[in-house]
Amino acid sequence: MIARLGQLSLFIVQIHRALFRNLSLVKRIITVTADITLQALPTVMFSGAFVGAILVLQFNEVLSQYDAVSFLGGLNTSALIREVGPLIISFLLAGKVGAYIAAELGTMRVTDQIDAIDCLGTDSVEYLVVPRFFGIIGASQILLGFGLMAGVVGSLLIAIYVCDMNALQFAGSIPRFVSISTLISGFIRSALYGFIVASVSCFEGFFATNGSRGVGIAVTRTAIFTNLYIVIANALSSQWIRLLSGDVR
Amino acid sequence: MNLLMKTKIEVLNYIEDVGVGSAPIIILATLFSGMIVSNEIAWHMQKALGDYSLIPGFTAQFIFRELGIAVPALLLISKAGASISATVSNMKISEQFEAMKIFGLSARTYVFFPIWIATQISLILLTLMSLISTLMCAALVAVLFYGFTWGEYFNAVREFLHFSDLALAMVKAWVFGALFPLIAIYSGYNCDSSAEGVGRAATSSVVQGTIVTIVLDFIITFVFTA
Amino acid sequence: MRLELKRLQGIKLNIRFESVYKSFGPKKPLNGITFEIPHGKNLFILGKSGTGKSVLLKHAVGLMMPDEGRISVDGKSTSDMNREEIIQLRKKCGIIFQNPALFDFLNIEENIAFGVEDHSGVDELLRLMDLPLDIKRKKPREISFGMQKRVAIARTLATKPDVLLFDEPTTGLDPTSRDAVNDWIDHLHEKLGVTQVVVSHDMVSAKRLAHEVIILDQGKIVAQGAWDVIQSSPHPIVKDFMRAGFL
Repeated sequence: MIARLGQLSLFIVQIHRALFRNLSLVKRIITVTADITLQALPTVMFSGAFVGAILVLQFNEVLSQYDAVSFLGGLNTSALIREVGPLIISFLLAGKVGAYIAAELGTMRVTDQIDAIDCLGTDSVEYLVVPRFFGIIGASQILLGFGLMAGVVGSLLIAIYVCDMNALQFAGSIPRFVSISTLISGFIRSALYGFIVASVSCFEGFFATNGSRGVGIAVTRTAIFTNLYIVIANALSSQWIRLLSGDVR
Repeated sequence: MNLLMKTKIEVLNYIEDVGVGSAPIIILATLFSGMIVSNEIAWHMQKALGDYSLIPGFTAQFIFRELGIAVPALLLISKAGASISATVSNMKISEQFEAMKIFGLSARTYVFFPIWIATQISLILLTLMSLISTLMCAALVAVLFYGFTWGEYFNAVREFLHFSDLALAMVKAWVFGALFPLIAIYSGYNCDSSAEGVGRAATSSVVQGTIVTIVLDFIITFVFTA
Repeated sequence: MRLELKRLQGIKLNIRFESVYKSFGPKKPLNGITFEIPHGKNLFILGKSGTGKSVLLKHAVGLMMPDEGRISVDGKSTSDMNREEIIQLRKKCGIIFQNPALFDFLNIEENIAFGVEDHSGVDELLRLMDLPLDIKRKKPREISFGMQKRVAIARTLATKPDVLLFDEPTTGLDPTSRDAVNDWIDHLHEKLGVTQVVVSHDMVSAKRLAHEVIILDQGKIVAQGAWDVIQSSPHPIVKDFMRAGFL
């Protein structure tokens, strides 16, 4: 486990060195970012809307006990941007894109395609891993933006049609809880989780072994370890993300 | 009788695989989420009402109605969903289902049914554990940082939590646990016979499982609150 | 790019393994191996499955580095080479993997031109490998397995290698396809005079094609020489192998 973490960090260093050695990769990174974003966008927006809706229903239920429904909009939006949005989006990113990339790289590894790339004189890390790695991180930011929008729209709809609020009442309490620093903290989070998804999925896929069974293992391990690391990162980073985004109590 | 015994053993095996195997990461995740939810709710309470007195009730309700159920369910879907689908598709590729047919055994009875039962039992037990560990960790944070005593905290919790909350949580866990293995088995059983196919099946089972669970969660919440 | 096939004969790459050791945990796939790849000949390296034959090939092109000993290429050890030199070495040694290992996100033409980023030699390579020209726009999964293997050889030949390394080219093939692959190895040797190293456990092919044979067991060379020499070797492993017809 510890040895694997060490290998993972070496791999991440290797990826960054490959990028700085060959900055022309940026163009490929942009294409891959666009691909990943488009691939995951429907899923992210659909789930984002439903997650926003669930959150509003739950908050409404709890807040109405304290006659505090007027805070619904602010509380809901703040929770969405700060915690729930980045978490759900990284979760979907891990499931949809991370697992896909682990499967893709793993398949290429077990069918000798990666060795073939190296043997034909192209650096496989530069060619395959760097674009995907940074593509995932880039896509996590764009997807967060769209996911949050869908989430807010979903919550707003439920607030209007189920909780008998109008849009103004819902929006009225938002400035109390949400500021630009809230947004910054959400995006820092999302980048951190994107980094985790990118490193784990590329690592597990790139170093897969043992045929089709190995590809299955790579995907499963990606699913487990991205979630594990994201949960740990979430807990450990709460405080300093708040400092970094200027969102201090 | 023989078949029943066999199925029972298989179910236990899969519970060990799916449930016990996932328990450490799920417990860890729920502990962290308890910590975070306490902190977040405290921060929002402070901003909205200017005091901390409502932390216990608010936290407990949020944990029992949403957080303590969603976290283990989503984690189990991505861990067990991927591995169930990969197991089934590898069995398919190595032609184990054909072999079973030759011996007159049905994959449904011997493989799919035990997995299905095992995930349901696992998720219900994991959710129970998660509810406890999340609440305990949330309470610990409240006691350490927000000036509650254990007694005060749990008195307040008792006031806001009802048996119906627990019952609904178990129903949700059971529904989620019954649905996602079906998706995983289906996508594993219908995969393309290649390394690529195995990966794709595992991926799609996780994503579809997650989406279906989120939508179901919404529907159940909607029905029981509105 | 005009593929100057004659050029392949001219340049000689001198690859020597000097007491090479490599282990993965308790497994020791290479346990003190010394030999030299002979020029312009077909060298067959035979051994049971899991005796480190593929590992040996990967060492020859610097995909793996030895724990002890050295692999010298024209006098320079692979572990002393920088990135550029390793890339040059890999271009001079073409590996043909057990899988065709074609890139499934590229079409046949792009696959063949991958190593040189120049599409002008593709037609000639297709003709050389007896492949129809109209497969250029197809994806690898749309053509037959036998064709995929030939495309893989063409892709490797595009970089004008001095040595061709085959990793178990006939494993898992039926006798007809095996003969076809062997025909190709023979054909390439005749036509291009290229040095070929074939890692295999198929002794029928070895008997037909090999100029020199090395037999590996448990990471060590147990017999080495021309086919007649091997045939009369007293070593029990070699005798077993002669009796069974394969390892």
